[in-house]
Amino acid sequence: MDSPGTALRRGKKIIFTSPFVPAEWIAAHGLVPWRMTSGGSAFCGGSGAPPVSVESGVCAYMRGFINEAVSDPQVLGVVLVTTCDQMRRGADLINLRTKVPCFLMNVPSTCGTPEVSALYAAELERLGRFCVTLGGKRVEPERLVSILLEYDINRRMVLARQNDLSAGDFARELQFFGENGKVRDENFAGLACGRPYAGSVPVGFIGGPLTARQFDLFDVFADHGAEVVFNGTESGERAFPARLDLRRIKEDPTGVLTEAYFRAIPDVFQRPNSGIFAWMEKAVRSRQVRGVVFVRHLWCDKWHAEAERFRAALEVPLLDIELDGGRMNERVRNRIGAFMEGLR
Amino acid sequence: MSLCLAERALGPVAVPRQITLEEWDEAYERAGSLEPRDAGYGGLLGRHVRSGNTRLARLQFDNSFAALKLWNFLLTEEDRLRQARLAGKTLIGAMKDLGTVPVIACAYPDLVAFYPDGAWWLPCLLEDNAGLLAIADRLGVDESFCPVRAMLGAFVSGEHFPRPDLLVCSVGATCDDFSAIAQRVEGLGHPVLWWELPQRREPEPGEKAALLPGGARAGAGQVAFVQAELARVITGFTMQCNVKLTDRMLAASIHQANKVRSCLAELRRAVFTAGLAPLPALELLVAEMLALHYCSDRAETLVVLEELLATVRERTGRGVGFHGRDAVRVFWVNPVADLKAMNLLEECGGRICGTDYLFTHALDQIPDDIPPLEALARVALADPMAGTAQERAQRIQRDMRAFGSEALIISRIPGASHCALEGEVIREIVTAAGNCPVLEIEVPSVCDPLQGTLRTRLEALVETVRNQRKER
Repeated sequence: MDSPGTALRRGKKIIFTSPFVPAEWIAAHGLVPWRMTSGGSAFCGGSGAPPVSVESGVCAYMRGFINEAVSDPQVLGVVLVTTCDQMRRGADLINLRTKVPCFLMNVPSTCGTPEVSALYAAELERLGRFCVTLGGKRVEPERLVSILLEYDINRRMVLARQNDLSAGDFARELQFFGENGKVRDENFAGLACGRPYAGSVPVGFIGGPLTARQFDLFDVFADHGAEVVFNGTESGERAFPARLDLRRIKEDPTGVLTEAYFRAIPDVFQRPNSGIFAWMEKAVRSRQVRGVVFVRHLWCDKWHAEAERFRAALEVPLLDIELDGGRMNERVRNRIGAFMEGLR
Repeated sequence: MSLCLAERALGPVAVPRQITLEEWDEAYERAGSLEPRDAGYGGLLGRHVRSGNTRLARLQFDNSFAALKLWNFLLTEEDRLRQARLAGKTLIGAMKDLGTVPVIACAYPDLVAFYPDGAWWLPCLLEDNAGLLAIADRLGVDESFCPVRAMLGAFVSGEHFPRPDLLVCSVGATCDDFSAIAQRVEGLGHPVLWWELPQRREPEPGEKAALLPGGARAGAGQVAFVQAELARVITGFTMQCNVKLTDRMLAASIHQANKVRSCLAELRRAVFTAGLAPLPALELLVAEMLALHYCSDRAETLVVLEELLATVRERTGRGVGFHGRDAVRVFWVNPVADLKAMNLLEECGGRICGTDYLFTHALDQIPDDIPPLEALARVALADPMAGTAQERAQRIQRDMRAFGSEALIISRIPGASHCALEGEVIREIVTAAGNCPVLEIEVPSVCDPLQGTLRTRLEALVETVRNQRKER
């Protein structure tokens, strides 16, 4: 592992992709949190082999994320979480094959007991110490409060844009926020900025993370007359934390973050994972969708195993799409077309 | 027992041999009346084939009565579970932790623990003639998952183990396949008591370190956390059977567990370090599995293992064994989905001298000089799957040196979420450390279609080691 001084010269980005890593906590330590959406490419680095060169049996999202994160010229450190095997082993490969400092954060799979909440909070403290060893600052209470407030406000502002943007553009907006911690210029520069036409068919998305390339999915659905009215993938609003409890920020910042992130974000890895079913059922009901799109990556067992349960739990049709990291192939496009035809 | 009885019946005196199931049954017919005490589960091996375990007919078995007893004990577990249910005992389905929860369950007078995970081997033993994988397929859990998906089929069919009164499953730093499938089991209406096993980490600066069985370390805070999780499991057990568990009861259970582990440790050492292998790989694999939950009868497990150990000692003392002295000494990583692969290695000129079947923490001694629940928390955290692949590789290297292993085989489990990357890390570390050939293979539940390829690769490994010997 590099000395902190050497590491600092590389940049200040702490790169992560899990929604369970609070960006504001890293920012409060004086470093740059960068929630990376994998581009879906194999490797962005220059010379040498990518740390994850295995393809068979390996989740393409994880492979893309690890390889892109460690080859980012501005990377100071990478934060992975324990919510899936693939990311855990990805941390092993980063440590074995690169000099990029890697922090593996325990995000408990069980929830509902004070002990696991305390474990998550303790992991935040450990993450803070990791940031300090990389040249970050110790948290100053006043600064922490202002950063947490800023993130909380910006997050609400981003979410408020959902009604003004197409699903694809909203996904890109969320990606921008994840990378920069702030909202894009008011004129939505760079976005196509348009809502689907009236009479479109409302559908919802649920599933794991999407690569940036896979945001095209939303456009393909739009082309087939769909309006994606909720994005329950890991790249969408489902993975947004709850509002921070402003009253407790000063005396218990890690407790507040634990409530907003660990206890509020529903996910498929949780045991039991009834929370994500409740989230989806509520979204389907409140937004009156006529179909649900279930997206998962090849080799992602935790999402894959639940496809049939989601199908059984829904009163509307479900389309199960397996992605391999790249752009959609014709077969997927045809299935989308057939699915949408059935919904009209 | 000075000579094994089956050998007497089979002819050549005092010659350990691998024999077919048919030969075993013939020998048994001739010598069966001399079979030692069997606690009611002895008899012809062939009866297990007739009840569906057709894979047995394709395996080669050790010809000692100790091995026969081992097989019969393994293959009659379902009967014991059903008898326990009839006797009014509470059945605990322990899942995933492999070795820790059964020690707690055994501390209670009327709890019997077993691992539904054991269904992992059903597609092999039954050659999938029970259609368990087809059931899993219908539930959307296809061949992209590891063979533990057979457990889902077994819960649906209800034919391979009685429905447990309580299911307990560790999650967190465990494998995704299992976690996903256990969640599906719960979704079928089998409530699960989930407990958290965090990823093991080194102590933080200023944090007290806890030494774990097997040599790894963890932060004391993690041990305290897992201890609290296991206390939740105990609360669940207490509610089931209305018996309050004391430290004394738990310490007594640990003491008994350690007897089993000691015996097994001695058995492994004796087999791995002998000049001639005194026990084949297949029987040793089955013996190691007994440490997980004692096939639902801990006292009898000890009897079975002690008889195996006596046979091994007797053979070693006489200088007899299997495979010849030039057999290549192989360290095997991960359990094989098809038991036949262990026979195959030996047919190709190899022998097992060291193993990590993903449950080394079930083999190590449980500390008995600290509070018993803390000791079990340390055992749970010592799970190779809870740590990094680097730590696992380090232990493998250490054990390879101790047992004189000359080659490493990493056996990938088809569909398992951790294998592809973990195997890569272990291979890279072991290869970088020295002149030890490493072979990565994947063994499906029934490996017959791949047997030619597997044989070629195993033979190539054996040949490489023999060439290295000549060069030295």
